[in-house]
Amino acid sequence: MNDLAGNNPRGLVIETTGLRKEFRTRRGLRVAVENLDLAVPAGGVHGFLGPNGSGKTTTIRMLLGLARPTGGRMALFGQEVPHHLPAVIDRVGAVVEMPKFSPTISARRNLLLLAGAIGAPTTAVDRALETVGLDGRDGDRFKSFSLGMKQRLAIAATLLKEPELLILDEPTNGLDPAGIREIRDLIRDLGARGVTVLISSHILAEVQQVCTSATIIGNGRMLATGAVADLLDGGAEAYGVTVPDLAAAAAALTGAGFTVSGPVDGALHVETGDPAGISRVLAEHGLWLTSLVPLRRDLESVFLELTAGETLGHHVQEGAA
Amino acid sequence: MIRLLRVELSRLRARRAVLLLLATAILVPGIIAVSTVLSTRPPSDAVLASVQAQVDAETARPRTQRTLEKCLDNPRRYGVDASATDVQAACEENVLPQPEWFYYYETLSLDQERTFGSGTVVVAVLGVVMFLLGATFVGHDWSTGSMSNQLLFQPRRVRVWATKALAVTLVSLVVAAVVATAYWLSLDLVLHLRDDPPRDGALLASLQQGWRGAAFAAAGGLGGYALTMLSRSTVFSLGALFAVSVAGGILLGTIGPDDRGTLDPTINAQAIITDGTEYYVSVPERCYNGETRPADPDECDEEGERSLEQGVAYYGVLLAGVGAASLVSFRRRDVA
Repeated sequence: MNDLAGNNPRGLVIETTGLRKEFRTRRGLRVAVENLDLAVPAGGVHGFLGPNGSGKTTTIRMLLGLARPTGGRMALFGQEVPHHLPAVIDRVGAVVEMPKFSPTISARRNLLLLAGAIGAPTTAVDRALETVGLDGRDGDRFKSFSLGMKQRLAIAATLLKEPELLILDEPTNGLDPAGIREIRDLIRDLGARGVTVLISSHILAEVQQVCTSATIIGNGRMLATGAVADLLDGGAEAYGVTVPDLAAAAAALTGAGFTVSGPVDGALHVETGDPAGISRVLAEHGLWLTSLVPLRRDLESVFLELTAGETLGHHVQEGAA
Repeated sequence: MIRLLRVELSRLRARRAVLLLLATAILVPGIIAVSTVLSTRPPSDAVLASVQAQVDAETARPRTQRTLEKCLDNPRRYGVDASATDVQAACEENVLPQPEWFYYYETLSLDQERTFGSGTVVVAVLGVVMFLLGATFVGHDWSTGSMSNQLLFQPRRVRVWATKALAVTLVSLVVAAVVATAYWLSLDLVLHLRDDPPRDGALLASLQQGWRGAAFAAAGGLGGYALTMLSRSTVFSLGALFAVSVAGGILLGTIGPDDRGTLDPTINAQAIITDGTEYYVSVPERCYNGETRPADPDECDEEGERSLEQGVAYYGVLLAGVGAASLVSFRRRDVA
């Protein structure tokens, strides 16, 4: 949070401390976000990952003043929100869940209405439409747009403010492969221009390709955070082993003390940092390798490991929270 | 605030439903005006000639002449005072056919239209249309989810609520005032064209009623807006309008107090529009029984009165309550 002078000494663009959000339901209180500490430094593209119902969108909505937190503190650019949100909102562009515009009016008019609210000039609308490739369809009604075009228009709306922080909730939802690539390039480009981007997404391969850092949450709690490279470095090193007789190979390797699993897709998974040892043991048993492939961890496997067993937002008894 | 107001006015103008409602607010009173003018137009010369021919023919019939003679012989039997100075003229008036027996038409009168006629209908139409305008304007924001998008650009919720309210109220007031003014001026113009100008002060009284009606319609627009901001559903607001205006009246009439003027929305609306109104009060059965009349004579007065101020207070409290609940709710509740 900011110091007494209102500065932002840690240089964090987003910071939450002990953030909590409860919803009152017929079954009692449902905790959507629980004691979440989130820190997003300035610059770069930050992934915000979690299974459905883990609290990603709720966290984003609280940061943007659309939902009121039950507890904890939040800050954008060192300014406590929602109290000081009006002071920083012009520096933040956001798309929350599905793009939401008036369906019966044109894309351009929708943007002009939003631009009018912040005093942005008409040229800003033209520039934003051009950036997302909608300048030829700006006169069409929003309801005639495909989901991909709606997503692009939503991103165009965020660009009206020339934001320093861009928050995108599932930005590639409904986009075709070419559209996904365009958005990915756009996000990379914005990141390279110094805009801090927070992406909440389920498409982990996309996140891995564009993000420099990531936070993984489950059940409203933070499970891991850090640079993407650091998240991928964790866990055991493993190799995929293919031989004609997989059962004999599994027995030989297990007997030699290796941890073996599978077969998966016709290969045994052997956890070890000693690939030569695998080759030696198999040769000693007269088994000759067809292939020995290092298995690289990706964000998806890290995500699945961390979120295994996580369920949708949990309930607590009234008064227990 | 001015910048936001301009945006909200543009947003209003951009909505087709709003434009349709504004067109309705102009067209329906226009149709009422045309219908009023047509139904009160004087007969043409040809019609008058035809009527006169029928009068002459009826007058010339022997039976009519016999009746006239009987009247002259026995005036009292025909409702004529025998001591009248001109019994002949009185009998002719009572017995001989008159043009209005064959052709009756209402004459156009601003006083008549204001008190019992189309003036109140025009205000009722404007009030309902503006309520729908306020409800549909913001109901669209909620149903499409664009409210959350707007709050990402202007997070000061009180300011957003107030600006939208101001836009709805301003548009409702201006349109309703222009329509009401045009309505009464057009009737006045027609009267002048018919060489039958209204009495002094009739036009001003009518215009004042129109402007009171415009203020009532603008309050209706604000009420529709506030209710929809509270419920976040146009359908709910329409249901509430129906419940208050129709079902509420029926319920009050069935199980409400005898003097329902203090609670009835229609009577209070009438009090505002017509600068006070009178209404029927149900009195105890014993008031009709001469032997056991109640001691308090007011208890048997079948005529209740509701003043303009009382009507304004009734709707003012209602509007303030809904407005405050709407604002507090919008300020505190999460926006999806």
